[in-house]
Amino acid sequence: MPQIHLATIDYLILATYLVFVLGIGIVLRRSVKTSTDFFLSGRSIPAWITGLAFLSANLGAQEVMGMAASGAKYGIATSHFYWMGAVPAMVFVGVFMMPFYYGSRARSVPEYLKLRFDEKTRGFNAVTFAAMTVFSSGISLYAMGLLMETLLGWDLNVSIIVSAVVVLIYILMGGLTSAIYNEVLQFFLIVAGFFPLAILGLRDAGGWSGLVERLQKVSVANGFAPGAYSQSWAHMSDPSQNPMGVEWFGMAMGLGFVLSFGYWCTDFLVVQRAMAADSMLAARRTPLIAAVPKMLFPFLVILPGMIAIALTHAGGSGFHLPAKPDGALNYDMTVPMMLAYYFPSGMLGVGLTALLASFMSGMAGNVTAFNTVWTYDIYQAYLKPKASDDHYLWMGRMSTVFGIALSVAAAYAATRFNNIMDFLQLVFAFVNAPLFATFLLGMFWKRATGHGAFWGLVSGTAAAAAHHGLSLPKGAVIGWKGGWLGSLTTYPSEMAQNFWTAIFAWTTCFLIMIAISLVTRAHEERTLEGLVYSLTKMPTDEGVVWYRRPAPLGLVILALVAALNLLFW
Amino acid sequence: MGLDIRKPIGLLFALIAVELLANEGLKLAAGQTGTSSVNIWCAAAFGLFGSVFLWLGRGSGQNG
Repeated sequence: MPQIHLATIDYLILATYLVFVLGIGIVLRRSVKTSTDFFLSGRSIPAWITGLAFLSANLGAQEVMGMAASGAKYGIATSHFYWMGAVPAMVFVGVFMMPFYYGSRARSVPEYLKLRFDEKTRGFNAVTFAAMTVFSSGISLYAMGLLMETLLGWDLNVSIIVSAVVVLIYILMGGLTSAIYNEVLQFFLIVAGFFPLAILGLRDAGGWSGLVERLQKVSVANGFAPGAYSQSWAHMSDPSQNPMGVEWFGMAMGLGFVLSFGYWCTDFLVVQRAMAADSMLAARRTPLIAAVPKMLFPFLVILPGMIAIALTHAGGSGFHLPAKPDGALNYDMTVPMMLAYYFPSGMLGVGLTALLASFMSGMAGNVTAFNTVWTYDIYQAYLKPKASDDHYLWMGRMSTVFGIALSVAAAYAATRFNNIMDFLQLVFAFVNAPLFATFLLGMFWKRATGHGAFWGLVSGTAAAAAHHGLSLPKGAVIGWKGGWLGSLTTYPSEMAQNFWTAIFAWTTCFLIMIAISLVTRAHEERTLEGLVYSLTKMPTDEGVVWYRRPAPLGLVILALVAALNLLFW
Repeated sequence: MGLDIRKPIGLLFALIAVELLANEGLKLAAGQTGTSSVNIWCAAAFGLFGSVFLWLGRGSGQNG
């Protein structure tokens, strides 16, 4: 792998960025006086800021580098993660679910589960979520350290420790507010760093028509129909005819409904940003504001991947993706290789700063979600209830320190595994898919009970494990990738296996939760006001101009995303 | 919360623009060939957007 040599200007830009993120933490340290300020930003942040933070908290390493890698591997079908997955889910959470999260005054997603169901359901979610955030943050930290070591020759330990310390300082000082404000700055930096890359790459590929022409050759060479890499839906009727190996039902149900709604509607990492908004209307508009740039992100993160595979396959442009030791293309290096090839010293510093910003925003998102869930849903609930607010503020700061220490430990643990990223994705599929079924029934069916929710979650997770244990992606060996209970079925790709694992988990949780709820005692209706759709007075938004109201805004966003689907059909 | 985030974003973008332009200027002053049009165009864009953010954040002490 060729190493990049940075010039003084590149280091100067990196240093300038670090001064700004730390400066924001220092300025905001005076705003933190209570635990509500630290964990929920005092519920005082306007919608446009929480909206961009909602988006940016998800812009970690997996998003920026992973989506570019998927763009190179699967082509434009990767856009389904946005145009059929994330954007409709964001509209749903903004219009229908946010009134319960924000209106119930719950301080976290697990706390909502306690209010709606019972303590054991909250405990189950709090513990699995806290473990996932630490793990996820650690993997992100490790991926960043490895990237800097491979690309720049920097010491892995230095990269991990410096990034962890910077994130620790700005969260410790300004809490969630500091994380959110930095996420907004990081959002603009990521866009500014990657947008010129997409433009330069597209110019090199001969514009959109030149790119499509080159991708047709890639498709044919890989045994697919000519448009398989540049048309998002046209080749979804048969899994063997698209590089993702998924048919339209698995895509729509597995990714579009279960996985995307499961993540965007229930993951406290993103929901926490909306809960910091200064009003109910601002909280509902938060995911809707985020959905607008989100629908354009394929042009920023997937397009470079498509360009990379097109140029690598055709040759002649000078750009090519590096190969792994086994000879296969290393898709994960798409973004770093493109930065090195297209950007001169100066903009190279901006591009690497954008990459660093994405790692930091993802890590800060995980750490702020962890310290809140730890303090409110584990420490206050089980270890030390009824302590003073000052004590919980202190615990919030301490949990930030040990959350980051655990992330660093997880980063070093990750060095021992070569398949940890796949494993993490699998854990997400196990946890988020059944959780979405629990929320859907909990928010929209008043008969759902705590026992139903708990056993639904447990059986949904068990169903995911069983499906994973009985299936394998094509060409994979038995182990992390499945088949450890026997191989009943083989999927064309890991993606297809993940989608179907999620479908089985969601369906099992949904059915078991209904069955157990019907045979257990229902909650009294008065205890469910503000928590269930039929027993809650929904906000009317009277006197608010139409384009600021969540429902019309959601319809406009859905129309735009439908147009994008049709345009690239 | 006592911070209008548009100001630091504007300032950061403006500083990046200045750094990129200064880098190209120093190359010219040193008689080096090969100034980068990518850096110059991007510096112009950073300068423009930095100015817009600073203008949007003018006069406000809050988070706007």
